[in-house]
Amino acid sequence: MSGKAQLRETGLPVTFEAIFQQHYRRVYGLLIRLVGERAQAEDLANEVFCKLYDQPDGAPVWANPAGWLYRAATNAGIDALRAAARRRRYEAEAGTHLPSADGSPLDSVLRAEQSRQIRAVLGAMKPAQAQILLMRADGCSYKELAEASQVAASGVGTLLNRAEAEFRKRYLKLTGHKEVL
Amino acid sequence: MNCLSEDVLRRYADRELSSLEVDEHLSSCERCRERLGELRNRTERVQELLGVLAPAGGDPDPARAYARLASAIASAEPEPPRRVSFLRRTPVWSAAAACALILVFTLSPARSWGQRFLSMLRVQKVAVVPVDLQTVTAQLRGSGHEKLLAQFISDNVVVTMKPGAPAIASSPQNASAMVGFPVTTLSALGTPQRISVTGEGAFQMTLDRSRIQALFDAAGRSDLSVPLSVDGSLVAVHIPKSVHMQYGNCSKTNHAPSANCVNFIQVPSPTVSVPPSLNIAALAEAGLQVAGMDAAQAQAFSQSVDWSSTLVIPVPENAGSYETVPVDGVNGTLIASLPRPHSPGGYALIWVKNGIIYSLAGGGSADTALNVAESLH
Repeated sequence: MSGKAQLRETGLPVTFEAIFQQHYRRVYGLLIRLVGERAQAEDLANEVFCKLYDQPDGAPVWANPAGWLYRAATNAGIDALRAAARRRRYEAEAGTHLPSADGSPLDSVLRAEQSRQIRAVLGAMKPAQAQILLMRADGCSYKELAEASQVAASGVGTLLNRAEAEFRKRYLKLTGHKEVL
Repeated sequence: MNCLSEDVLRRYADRELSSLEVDEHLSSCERCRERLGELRNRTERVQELLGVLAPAGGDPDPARAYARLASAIASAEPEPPRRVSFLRRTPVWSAAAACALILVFTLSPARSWGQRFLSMLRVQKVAVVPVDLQTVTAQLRGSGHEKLLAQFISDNVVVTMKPGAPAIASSPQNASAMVGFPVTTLSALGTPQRISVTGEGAFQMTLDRSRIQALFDAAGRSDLSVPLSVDGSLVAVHIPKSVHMQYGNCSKTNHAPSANCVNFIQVPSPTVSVPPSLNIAALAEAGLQVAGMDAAQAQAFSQSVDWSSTLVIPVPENAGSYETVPVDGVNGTLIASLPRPHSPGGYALIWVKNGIIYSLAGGGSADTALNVAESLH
């Protein structure tokens, strides 16, 4: 038996639903951090799992669905992020973009601005690096990161270091070195 | 010891590495202690910034997300139209497919939602019902309502587990391991040419009385009414893994019965979950009339059958004969179809033993089936 109906890993049959149950929270967690809106994150997660479902039986993806899923989710999130950034530019030029106001207005403006900068940095990074940082922020263990990044567990530390260094460099550049990082 | 690499420091900081050597080195090397401190600060700051992005809205709801995904997948499935095209292919050779068709026609659960209120039905017997499916399909096609049936299925059926493409088994033993029950072989026919295993499949459907009525109307049977209890009720069907063996010289593309090819299918009984309060017989009676039985026949037949444990196989009236024959210590049903212009004629022998449905089908004389069945292993 092969493919989505039956994946033999640990000798137990793993169904597509089991893959979904195992990874949905993480995929959603990654997307919500990237796009910031619940409905959009849910839509994107739905699309990513649909695409996984459409992979033909016997395709290599079924050997490690996690690796495929998180890469697809990161790419989808970054694409959406870039599209949103373009839209915001137009809106800013037209003067129609208003920050959402919950909490104190100043706080929320600052927080929104900071979120926007962090997302801009993530969106400019290599998707694989953005992915590992976001998954770590979501509480993934080295083992989970290794599976999702398709590297050996011993390589995760190096990947995290590089991704953090890259994030730091770009963030400092974007914020004009105003803060010590 | 040389100074520690970035990677070692990192894993040490993340508590993914504990080593006495590293501890000792750190206690003696100020430079590495500083580097560890810097690394920790950077990690903390980066994670703090990323923490700004953490969702405020609470946890996602995977169950709701899965339901949504399942319906998105079901609406894009090519399968429902395939199930419709099955109506045109007569006679019916595949036991599992016959189940799906008959269930679409005959089950009528009551209003209660939620699977814990459902009772499980399993096949224990096979019954044959002579029907005139050609008339009903021709009527639907002729009136342009064929689409209605396809749409009815695609709107209401949600595939919850897709069986996927069949996988090839290298031997009967291999197939047994794949499906989880001992596979039977036919020694009289030698070694199977091909053994394939199809994965589990499951689908659910929510019945909509007005749309079933519209189908009845389209089939020219406005005089029949669909029981009220049908509306909004949920039927869940689960079809276990099945084995399909081909003996002889079978064509890969043409599934019409051929004298040189014997198809032997084994599948544990599909289970159907329906509310216990349902009156299956009432809907079955209407369904049988749509399929060409007169009212008295339909009533007599639906009352003579235990719908909760009987697989009903529709056999087109003009297509052949059927009889009960002994097979492997139980009663089987042998259906023989006569040679026709585009079909050489053939047989299907169907029986149920120890919860497994067997279907042995091929071209040529029905006597072959009985000889072959003698050699079951």
